[in-house]
Amino acid sequence: MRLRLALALLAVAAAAAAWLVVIDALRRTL
Amino acid sequence: MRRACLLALGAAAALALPASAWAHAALLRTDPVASRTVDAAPPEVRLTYSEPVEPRFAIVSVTDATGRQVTSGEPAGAPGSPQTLVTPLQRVGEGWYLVFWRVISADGHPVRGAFTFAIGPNPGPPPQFVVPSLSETATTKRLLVARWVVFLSLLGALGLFVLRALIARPVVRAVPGCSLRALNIAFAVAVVVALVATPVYVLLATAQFTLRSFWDLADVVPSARSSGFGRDFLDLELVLALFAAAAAVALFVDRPDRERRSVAELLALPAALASGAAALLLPALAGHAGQRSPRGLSLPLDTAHLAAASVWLGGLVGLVVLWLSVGRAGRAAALADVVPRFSTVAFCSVLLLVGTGIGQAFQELPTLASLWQTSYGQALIWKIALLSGALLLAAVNLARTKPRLAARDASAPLLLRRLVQGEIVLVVSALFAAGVLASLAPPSSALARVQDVAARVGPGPVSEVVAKDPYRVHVQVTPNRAAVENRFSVSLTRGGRPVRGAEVVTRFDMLDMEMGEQSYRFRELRPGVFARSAPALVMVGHWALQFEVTPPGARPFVVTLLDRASG
Repeated sequence: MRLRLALALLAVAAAAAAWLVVIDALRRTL
Repeated sequence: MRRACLLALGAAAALALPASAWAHAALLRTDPVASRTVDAAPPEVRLTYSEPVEPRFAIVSVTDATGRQVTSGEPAGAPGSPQTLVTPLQRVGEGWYLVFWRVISADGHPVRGAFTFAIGPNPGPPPQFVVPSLSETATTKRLLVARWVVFLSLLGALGLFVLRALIARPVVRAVPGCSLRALNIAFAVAVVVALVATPVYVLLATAQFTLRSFWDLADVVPSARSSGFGRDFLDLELVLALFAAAAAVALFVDRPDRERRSVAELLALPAALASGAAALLLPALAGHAGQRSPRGLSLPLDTAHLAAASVWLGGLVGLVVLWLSVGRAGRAAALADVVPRFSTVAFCSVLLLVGTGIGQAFQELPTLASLWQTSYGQALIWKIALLSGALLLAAVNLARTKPRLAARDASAPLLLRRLVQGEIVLVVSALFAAGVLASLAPPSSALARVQDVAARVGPGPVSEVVAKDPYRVHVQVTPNRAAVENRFSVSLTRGGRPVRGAEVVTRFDMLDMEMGEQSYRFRELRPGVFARSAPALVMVGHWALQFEVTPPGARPFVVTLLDRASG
């Protein structure tokens, strides 16, 4: 149960990191 | 009053939107000035462009009349001005020199050009320089295939994930013994292909920009992040890896056999979908949408277009995978459960796809005629034709196969598979056309400004008489070649007599790609003869020459020639 929750939080962190990369790319271009 | 308010609103909106971007790097200024004679040998050649250019991808060659290279180093960026390239020169004597340049635009398109200058005071007559080819394309076979594989695997992976995690998931509870394992594997394969293909594509493109071999990795790899295009696609690789991780977690914690999703599932699934959406923004940013104005509109349109395409394509592939993986016994039941749900989603995404596609076409094509007159428009027609074929098959599926599946007709699953496979072939081909579109320069917005073409002229010297009652305009262009000084002259007569004191302004518009307009005022050399020598045709290709003539005390009129300048 805890492992699944930890993994899910990891997925959330991955999504946040992905959006940080995209925001940085947007800032560079716009 | 109302109209004035509307105009003011329009102007305010135009100001609020980002400034219009030039789609391609255009040479704005040169030092020494093109086609001029300077008194002392310059220590360097400075080229200033309309957008920042990366010196590592730039080529600047300066040769004398015998073809000897006279640069003394590589081009470098000018401190504090990323738009300017500085190339040091050797100590050179009197005579004529040819400058040839090549830079990479922000969207990855190479642009070339050439001009001459002379060192005086007595440089002598200008020699016949051999100008290297001024046309270069980003549509090599290798790049096209690589781009296609990247698009295909990226869209396929995202669509397969959506099908697996949202659309097909309830089938596990509806049909006992049905497993989604095959869909998981198909998704994993697509993600791995995308993760491999993306960096390979960036390296292939970088090798093309730097005119090196792909296998020259020691030189190519360090330059991969130097272009805006390369940076965006390497960011895509990173985001794709993060999406792969989030999606793997979402599928790992997913328990489709339970009625309600657990907290872990409810956290992981939106996270995976959000990172998938992030991955769709980057190709839009790296391509034409990132260069088109207003970007506040073109980027969301392009991202929505990609999202709709991925749901459709990945869903279709997923349906075939499901068909093959579910045993004969449960096949009809499984399809009867999944297909109606997918149909609804696919119908919505096709509507979105067509709507955003039309919106993008309105933004990209300056005139309706550019749809069949330019190669960009022709590739778009191919894409539309292929998608229309796919839509036809989809309509048959919706109208015929779906009700038959619901009625548990025994022949329905096979019919579904055949139609879906046909759809996949057409959508995959349309995606290739989309890859070609992304590699071509969109038609220049100058096409919309060109109206009423009096004649098509060139290649070669031009001598054209155009009647504009009550005037006759005789236009001459010699030698009508790109990248060298051309002499433009306009003779204006009325009833056989020269018209003195007219004002003649000529605008030059490149029609093959976005370059910005140049305009020159002509001097009256003899009564009724107006002329100007200028290196105005900076590239090989189609030019609109618009001669705006204002006779004294009369209304101005415009004579437009469509010219083809050769190299």
